Amino acid sequence: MSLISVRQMSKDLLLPGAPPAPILRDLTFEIEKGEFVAITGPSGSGKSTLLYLLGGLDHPTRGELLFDGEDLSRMSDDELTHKRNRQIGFVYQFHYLLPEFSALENVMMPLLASEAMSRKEAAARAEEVLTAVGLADRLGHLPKQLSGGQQQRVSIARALANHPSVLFGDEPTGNLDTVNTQAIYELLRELNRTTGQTIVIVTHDEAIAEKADRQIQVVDGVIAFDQRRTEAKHC
Amino acid sequence: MRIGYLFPIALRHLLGQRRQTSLTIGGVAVGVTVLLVISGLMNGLLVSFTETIVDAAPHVVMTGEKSQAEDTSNLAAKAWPQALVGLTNRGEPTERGFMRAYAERERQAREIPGLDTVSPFVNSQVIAAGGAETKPLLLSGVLPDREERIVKLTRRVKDGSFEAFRANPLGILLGTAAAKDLDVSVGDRLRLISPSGRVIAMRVVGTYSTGVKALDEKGYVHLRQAQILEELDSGSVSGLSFTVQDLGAVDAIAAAMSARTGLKVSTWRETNANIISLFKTIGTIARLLVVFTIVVAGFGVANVLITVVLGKSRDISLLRTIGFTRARILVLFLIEGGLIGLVGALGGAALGFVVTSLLSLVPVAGESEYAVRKTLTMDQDPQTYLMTAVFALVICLIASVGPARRASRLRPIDVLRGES
Repeated sequence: MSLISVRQMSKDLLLPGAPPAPILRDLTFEIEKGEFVAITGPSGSGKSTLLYLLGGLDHPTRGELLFDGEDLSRMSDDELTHKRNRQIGFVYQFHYLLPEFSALENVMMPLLASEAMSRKEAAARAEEVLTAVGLADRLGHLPKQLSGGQQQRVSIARALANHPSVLFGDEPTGNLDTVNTQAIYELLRELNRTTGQTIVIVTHDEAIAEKADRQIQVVDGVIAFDQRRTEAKHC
Repeated sequence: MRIGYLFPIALRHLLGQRRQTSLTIGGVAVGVTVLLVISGLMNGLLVSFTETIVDAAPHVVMTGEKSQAEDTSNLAAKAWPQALVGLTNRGEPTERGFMRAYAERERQAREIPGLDTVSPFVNSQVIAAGGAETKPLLLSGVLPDREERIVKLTRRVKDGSFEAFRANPLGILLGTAAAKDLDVSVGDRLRLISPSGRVIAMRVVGTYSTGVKALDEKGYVHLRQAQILEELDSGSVSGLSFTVQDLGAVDAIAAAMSARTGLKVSTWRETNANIISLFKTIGTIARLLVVFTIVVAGFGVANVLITVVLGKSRDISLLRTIGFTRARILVLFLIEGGLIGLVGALGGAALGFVVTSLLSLVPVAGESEYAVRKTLTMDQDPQTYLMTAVFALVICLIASVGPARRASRLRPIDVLRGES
């Protein structure tokens, strides 16, 4: 069974007093466990909307969206919230770290929200993930005391804290210089290779898109192009 | 739902709006303080009034009148309640107002535990003719030694002395207001004329002041003289005054006394019901006005939280995306409002305690000489503090509901779209 299975999914933009404007039209595709997928496309093509739908942040207007066998389009807000907490990690263009909290506390947030861990356990797990992204010596730093690349690493650590089934990235390197972009890409690639972490990122960066296992290009709300790199190694 | 981990977030949200938050906490605290001071003052006035009354007036009075339950004046109506029967006594007027053989009544009353002092009295309304003035005067005929233990006349005497009153069977002890009204002073002669025309000449042996107006407008004479004026035999009186050992038991004692003797018995609280209820009404109005201060402080709380919601909508959305449900965001903001309320209420309570303690040191001018306390009486009832603090907290929580709902309804997708 595929991790994510999209069938005939459409999303309309509904504005009061205007006819529904289609953003995504009749998409059908699947994402397998362990894949590293890049979603590309021009601005306004609907690729970010697609990512938010896959990540349970929005409901599709029509069609089916199965995540690990469950239909996200039929879930209540609370069910989606729990799903996001336990199975989905998100990294955005901006780090979105809580400015008043240290790196460690930021990574602890989703763990505490799951209410499955004590504070101590959450801190231990957060430290483990931060160490994995190379920030073992920055645990107590506030976001503003970290560089852009480090901030983005913290938000990746936060996304990974609850062992998500899939890590979504919305232009995760869009705000970084080339050196940091490369480093973040290497980190994600490494995660994918060593732990089999499924990763789906929206990117403008051609270089990164080309290195992904699979590239889905969205143009005007439809999939213009969906190709797996033949030499890509699957785990 | 666990909420412990929400507290650090709530705290840091509030600390992020340090100025506004501290101003709002100050607003809540001032409201609580003022409410506590007003309550303390109003309750204190009642306490001080009560102390003055129970110190100078009998706690329980039994008169010769029959109690309602024992009213036997219309036996016919009792026997045939359905019938339109009316029997009226058109003969001689009954001597309803007087108690015969008071020693026997006193003995009956004495069997009730908890009584302290008993003092018989005869009330007499006379015309008093002094030097220039001739005016009506209410007299109490008493046994000086017994009455002394109830009214504590010795320490209330202004001019002359209680000793002189005790020693002189034809002496009269006048309240300061009565003496002023009649324009007489110690040593002056006063003629007392009863409604039936009996005249007794008396000498003013002293004046006294209790601070209770009704008591200061009358005069004390020896029991026997009042009996003569009222044409009573030496065993008859208007009633008996009592003090009790425990004021809390006064109602029970009065009820037992009434049941035992079948006579009308009233407590100091019944006698002063009008003024006590006036005190309470004024207190309630004053408190209601101050309550609005706290309600206004509630608007301040809503204001701070709205600022946080607007300023932190991105953070709130982020929390929603990583697994904070709507309910949890709602609780988060209720905690923020609650924290403001809690700190404000505690601060206000502490400040209220300090202010009332300081105010209770303020000496009261003028009438203080009659009062039991010489300084402003401030009540510091812990229950009032608790209720006021809880009230402030509840107001802050109610004020947080609006902003909290607003925060919980933020759609992360809208905020994310707006930024990228």
